[in-house]
Amino acid sequence: MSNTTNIAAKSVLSVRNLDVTYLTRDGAVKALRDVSFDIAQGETFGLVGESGSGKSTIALAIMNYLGISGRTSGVIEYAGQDLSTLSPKELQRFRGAKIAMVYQDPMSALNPAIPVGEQIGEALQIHQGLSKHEAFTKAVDMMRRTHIPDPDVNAHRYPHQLSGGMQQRVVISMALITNPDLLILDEPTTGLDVTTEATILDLIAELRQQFNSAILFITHDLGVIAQVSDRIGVMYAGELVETGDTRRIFRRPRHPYTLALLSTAPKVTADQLDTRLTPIPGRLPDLRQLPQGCIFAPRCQFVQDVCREAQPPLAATDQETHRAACFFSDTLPLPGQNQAAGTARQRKEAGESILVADDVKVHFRERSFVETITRRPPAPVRAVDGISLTLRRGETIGLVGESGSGKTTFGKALVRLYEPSTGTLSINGTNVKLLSHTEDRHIRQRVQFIFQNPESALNPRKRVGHIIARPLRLYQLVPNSEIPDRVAELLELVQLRPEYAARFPHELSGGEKQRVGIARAFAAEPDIIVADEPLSALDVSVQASILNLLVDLQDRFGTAYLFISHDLGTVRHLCDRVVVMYLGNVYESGNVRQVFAAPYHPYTEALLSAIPVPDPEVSRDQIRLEGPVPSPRHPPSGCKFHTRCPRKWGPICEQEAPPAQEAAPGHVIYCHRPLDTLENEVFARSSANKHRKESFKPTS
Amino acid sequence: MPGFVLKRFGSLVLTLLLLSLIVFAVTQLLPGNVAQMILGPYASEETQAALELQLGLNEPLWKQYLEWIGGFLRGDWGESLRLSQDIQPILLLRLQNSAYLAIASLAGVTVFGIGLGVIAGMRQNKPSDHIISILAFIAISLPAFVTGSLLIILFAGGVWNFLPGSGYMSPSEDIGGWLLRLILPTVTLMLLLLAYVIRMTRSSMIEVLSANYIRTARLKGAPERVVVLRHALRNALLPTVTVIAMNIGWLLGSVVIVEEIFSYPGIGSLILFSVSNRDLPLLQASVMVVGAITGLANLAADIVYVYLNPRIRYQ
Repeated sequence: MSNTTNIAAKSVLSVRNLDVTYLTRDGAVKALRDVSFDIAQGETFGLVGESGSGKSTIALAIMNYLGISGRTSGVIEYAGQDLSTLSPKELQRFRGAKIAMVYQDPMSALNPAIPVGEQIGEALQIHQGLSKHEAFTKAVDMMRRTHIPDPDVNAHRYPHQLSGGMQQRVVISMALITNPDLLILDEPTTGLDVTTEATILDLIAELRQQFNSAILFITHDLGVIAQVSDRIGVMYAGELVETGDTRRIFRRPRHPYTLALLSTAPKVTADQLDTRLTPIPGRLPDLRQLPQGCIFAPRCQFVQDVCREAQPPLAATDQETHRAACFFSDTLPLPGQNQAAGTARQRKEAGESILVADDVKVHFRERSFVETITRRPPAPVRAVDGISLTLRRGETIGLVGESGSGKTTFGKALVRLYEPSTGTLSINGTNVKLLSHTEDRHIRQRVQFIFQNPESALNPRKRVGHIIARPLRLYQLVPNSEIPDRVAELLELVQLRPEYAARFPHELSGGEKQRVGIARAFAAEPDIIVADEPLSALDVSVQASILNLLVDLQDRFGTAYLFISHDLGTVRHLCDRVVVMYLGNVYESGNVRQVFAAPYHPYTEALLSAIPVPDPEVSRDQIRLEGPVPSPRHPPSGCKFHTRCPRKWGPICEQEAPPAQEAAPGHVIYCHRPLDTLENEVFARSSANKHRKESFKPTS
Repeated sequence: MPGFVLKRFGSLVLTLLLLSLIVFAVTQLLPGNVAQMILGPYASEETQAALELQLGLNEPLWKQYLEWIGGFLRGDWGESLRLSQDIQPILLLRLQNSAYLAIASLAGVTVFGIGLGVIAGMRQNKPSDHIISILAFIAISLPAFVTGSLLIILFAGGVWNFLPGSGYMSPSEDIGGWLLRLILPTVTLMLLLLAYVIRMTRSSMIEVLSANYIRTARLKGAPERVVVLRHALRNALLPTVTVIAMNIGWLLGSVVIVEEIFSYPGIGSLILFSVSNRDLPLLQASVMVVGAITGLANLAADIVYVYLNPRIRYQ
């Protein structure tokens, strides 16, 4: 205990025995229970957990902004004062001045009707009594420090005129302008493209050096937390289950939940490619009726009888500052040692080709007003600008790229939600453009879609059984009398109990909803499934089980997948071949081993190096793409990537489309650079290899 | 911004052109012969034919239309058949009177509607919110002739008697009397729109106050006054402005009833007069003027909307 008080003496923020309860109509939700931690000056404390773990509630509790239904007990001490006892007037003096916050989704965190410079400077007007003009000038300075280009110009702009990355820089500037003692970052990079995320994380790392604030960094992403924090707290269902030094926790996690989280996510750096993932079974407990004993016991693979009876305290492990709430923390295996045996995945040979896209383009024509008046043909939005690919039976192709690369549009063109403007699309050898109505219907059945967001993809007014039966009725796959049996079979296929057929979507968890989405896709007995980011709305622990399910179903039915994702770790795990898209074109394609190894296309290399690796001992890689993806209405000439390319070869990049270079059989890179120069830029991620940090800027 | 205004102005001109065609067509379709109407039932056919020739009624329709619209644009709005006077001065005078009424009630609606709406939205589900909402509902359920009559009974004779219940006095004559006579019709007109505006402002205020950027402002340490006035109001006003603007035309329509109740000499009662007396030139001119004003009011509302909403301003 003496150690804890010692830390408290130097700490900026000290949270002691914090409980938060939300009073709802269905009873009291105990969102946080007995949470204690300290953050010292200049230190970054990372809070990691899945949705529902209560990590954002901690942030709002510190700000004393829980809303009328929130009740707190315990102590939140900042500079000797308990923040939870302050009056609203007193609170205003702390908020923004001493404690500032950066939010997820910067677009919604910024006022759409006020220029960003004014929003940044406002805190100075409030807390330091500066005039509007003085505050604005300081805001421009602050924007310069957060590397917003042309701050004098951009300060006068409105949020919607800035890209997502710039918006988040604005929010960060807004928080830092008063030089706060404590900075709370709540999922600051979630929802941003991986390339943008990397530049924002770089910025945060740089600002940590310049400002001596204590930082509370909240995220669900183990990769992010590993890169930014000195110490970590792992949250589960409202409790802090493990806390300690970042390196130690990643190397030697002492709580089964932390261990499970670390082993469950497919990693872009994993040594073995074909191991089966170990999902965390079960789901979060109901926070209104807490189980007796350890909160994680129902999902724990190491559970013992005592775990169900008594609640383990957050006690010191073999190191005093590393604490874990587990009775058996000293006997847990290390990460990598707990992989179940015999789980290697057998990859099958792909069969005959069932989908051939030949130079498919999807252009959208929206006339602007001027174009309507002058009757000038509008410049089309070239969402997909010439994609050729072949998908074979039983194979998975991963389609990757930043948002705006056209991958979703291409996926939707395959299920014929968009008609290709030019090019041909053949499914099972038939050109889909030349079909009669009934043939068309038949072809549509062959290609099904799994949507990104299961919340909005299921009709909230229909029962699960009805939703799954839709394709059965539509394509008349089974007689009406057999539909209930078939629905039950399909539910079983996706590991849901048959009684789920009578439930409504809102009664299901996110993972269960996505299972229903998968069952619906398989109900049509398709040859091809287009899965558009099917995991991105799900928690890490659920993602693994869905991935395993997709693999099993493919093995069983030989369905071909087109897997659209921005998560390269998942793509590497699931896919056989990878297609890298940028602004509607393919820039690299090949099998997984080829694309994830040298030689790289510069864009692939940038994407890979932007991924935060869940290992604090890996130094961050050096390639950064600045700025947003250019408009597909007016794409850059020549190689479309030349405006952001860190390895631009010369003027030829601006003039001519890059040639296809075959690096190995089946591995094609579209780049002007000779292959051997791409070969040299080895992308290495071993922990022994400490990279010199070097920043590449766009050449424009 | 100028491009946007120009674009909207262009569509306004187009709308008015269409309106003029409709107005012209409708007056052509009305039963009865204009010359006969002027001369009365006992005129001989010769005099009738002579008048038709004089008025150009024998000309082809397109020529008549062009003549009429050309004259209208030049400011020659013709002569009233019944009043035997140039239409323009009468119309402009009546328009001025109605404008006092409309502007006063619009101003009242804006101030009270937005004010009460903001209060109700900020105190959602508290007593003040309930009182405002219930009163607004009562106001919206009563038609103008009921509220008008009620107001007359309450303040102009029946219960208390301190406001004139009807008539008009020009401001140059007696500014106090002018104001007094404006009060009751203005309030009647206001009550019609007030409820809409209050409900709209209330709900958009509630929505905006739960937005993330309001949380940002509060967690910046901004006092509640700044949060509401600077961060919330501007965004919350967008739908309200649309509602007010969309209802300007409707307000002008209600002017007809209100002016009738309070015997107020405005454009509404003039239109009523021209319809019941088949004074076609007067009707045509009045409708065109009202149409133009409605269009201009909507244009003004669009401009305010764009000013409030930078997302439209920079597209």
